[in-house]
Amino acid sequence: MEKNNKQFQVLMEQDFLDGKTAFTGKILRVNLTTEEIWVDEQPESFYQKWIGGRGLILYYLMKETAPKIDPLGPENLLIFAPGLLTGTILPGTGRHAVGAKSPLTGALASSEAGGWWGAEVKKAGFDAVVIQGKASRPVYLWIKDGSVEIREAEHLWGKTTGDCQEALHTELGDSKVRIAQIGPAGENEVLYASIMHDINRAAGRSGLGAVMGSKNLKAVAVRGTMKVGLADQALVKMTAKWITSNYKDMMGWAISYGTSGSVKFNHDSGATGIRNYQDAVLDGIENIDAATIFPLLIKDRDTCNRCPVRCKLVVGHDGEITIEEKYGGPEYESIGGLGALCGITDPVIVAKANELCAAYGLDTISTGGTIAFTMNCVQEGLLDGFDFLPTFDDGDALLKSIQLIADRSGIGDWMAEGSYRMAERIGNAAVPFLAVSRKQEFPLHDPRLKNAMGMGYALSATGADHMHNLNDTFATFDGGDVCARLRELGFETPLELWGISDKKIDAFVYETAFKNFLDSAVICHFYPYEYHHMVDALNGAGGWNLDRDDINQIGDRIITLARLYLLREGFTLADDTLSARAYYRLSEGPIAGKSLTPPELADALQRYFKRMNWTETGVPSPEVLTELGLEDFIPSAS
Amino acid sequence: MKEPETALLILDKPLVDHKLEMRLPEGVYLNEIVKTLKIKPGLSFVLLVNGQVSDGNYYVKHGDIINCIPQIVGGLY
Repeated sequence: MEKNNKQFQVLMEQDFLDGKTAFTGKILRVNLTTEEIWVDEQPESFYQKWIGGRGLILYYLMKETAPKIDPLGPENLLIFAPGLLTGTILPGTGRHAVGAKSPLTGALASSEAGGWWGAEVKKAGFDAVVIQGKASRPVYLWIKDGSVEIREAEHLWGKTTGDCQEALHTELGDSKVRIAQIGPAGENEVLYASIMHDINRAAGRSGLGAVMGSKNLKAVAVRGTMKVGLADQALVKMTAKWITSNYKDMMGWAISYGTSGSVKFNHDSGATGIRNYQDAVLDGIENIDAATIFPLLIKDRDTCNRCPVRCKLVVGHDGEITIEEKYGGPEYESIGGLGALCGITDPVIVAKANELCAAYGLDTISTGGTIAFTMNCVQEGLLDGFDFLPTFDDGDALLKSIQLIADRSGIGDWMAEGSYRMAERIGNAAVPFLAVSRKQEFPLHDPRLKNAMGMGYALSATGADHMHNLNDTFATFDGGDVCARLRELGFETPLELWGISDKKIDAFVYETAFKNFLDSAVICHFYPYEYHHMVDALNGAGGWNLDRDDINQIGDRIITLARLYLLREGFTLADDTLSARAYYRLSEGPIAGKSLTPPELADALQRYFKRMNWTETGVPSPEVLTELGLEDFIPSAS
Repeated sequence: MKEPETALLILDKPLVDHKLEMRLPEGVYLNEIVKTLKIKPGLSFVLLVNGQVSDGNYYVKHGDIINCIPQIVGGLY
């Protein structure tokens, strides 16, 4: 393919223009060092095998990056990857994935965001955008209906996400332009900086914003007016009709309060770590649940492309602390991380902290987790020599900490590296207070309650992650979508709550395959889709004849390739761990006396490896790689 | 005549439309009780027995207070 400098125009295939396919076969490539722009043409078989999203991200990282590169060096790829179904008529497909090698974990970064950006880039004619190199000065990408341009961004550097979006809308003369961008945290290469989309949707985890900052890339602005087609509209419409007929009953929780309506429930069931996992109960937790926030702060509801649910709460506040509605509102993970984990129950403070994270471009989970860890170290007298140190229950200290992290100022410069690296600086005395896997802070799903989820944290190529995982408490009694999917696979009864039995490992294998498929398609996990729905949607989008086993094989392929990526980057069985907080047993409360033990986790890992036909050290066998079509990735004997 | 020994099970929104309190006989397993509950489709829950998370193999005793706590998947943005 011919390469062009700074500006590029591609002509779309007639089938796409006629609305007959959900993909164009065109992957946009940009080298910021040389300012070359070109397109990879991918055949239909590529999409059958990788689908998009995480599958596509892993394919490019494995094919085109050398092992053990510097995540913040020009050789890292930054990949924006909508899925096969992104931009189609199916509800729940208003999402896309972003990936790279993670500067936080040294492993895979693969994070999904909602909103409109992913659909917009598909409507602009590209199935994905793969960026390499490093610009010599701040730039942004401008993509519009098949045309691409590298533009100067000196005037945008240093701006918050809200100010940057406003400036770009003015500059491009179109308020409908969708913008993926970093804030000051990404520019300063905070290791858990996020990439914000439309300023309130984050590809939050694993430091993708730092990768973008390291490339001097401030934003990717997109406008697309073409239509994402379908090979078989009737097949996709069937699933769309099913969900539009049932979502009000099956997703009532999302319609009423969104995930922020789960704060008290999760607290009461022991799922939310309190004051860095040392307490069982947080007095005043109801103050930061949506039921309380609603009359005080909620101003509106927001949604994603093609989603009737509108689960996104929009908060605003006037007074001593002002909160701007344009930054959206906090979800459960953000409220848990910035609230309960830090001992904060003031809803205005928590909502403000969420706004600051969106404005500066920070992952709310790792921000909350790192600040809570710091507060814990201060409580234990392990930190001194700083003008300012945060303490539990102090809302002002929380807000100040976020500012210091984004600026990399004072203790914020330590916190900008994440809790694991902070513990390395402080010494062994800090290790008991760590809540990380693969150096990434735990989401707000306590592995002491959710044991398989904990195993998933230890195994995941992205570090602790609740999304492509088995959520134990969703599979313990019939009713939810996890149980429905397991029934479809032949499980006769729900899973036992405690421990990790062979049956649970079997369910974990299926469920993580399904979730990795969802993250490649890329589909919202809140939608209660079962296998047969996804089979119809996939075949309708691609014009294929895949079945349930194919979906599981696609998921297994992605999980296995992610494992190969980990091994290639130098990770071993010794890294498949949970840090100390996962084993700290509480003396009271809903999960008193509960946790896995390290030997129990080690035993479960061995049974998982066996189930996957991996070796005792977690290396996929050549037979498995061949079976999954990964022959190209079999490591050489040398 | 001696009143039967009982426990109390509490169900609330969003699992059901209206808060519900049920008297349970002691001497049954929670798994058996759960099968009889008319919970809205698509929702998951955990059980708390006297404030502690319990699995379905718990044998109900006199005076137990059992809460059904909805489980809602977490989100980031």
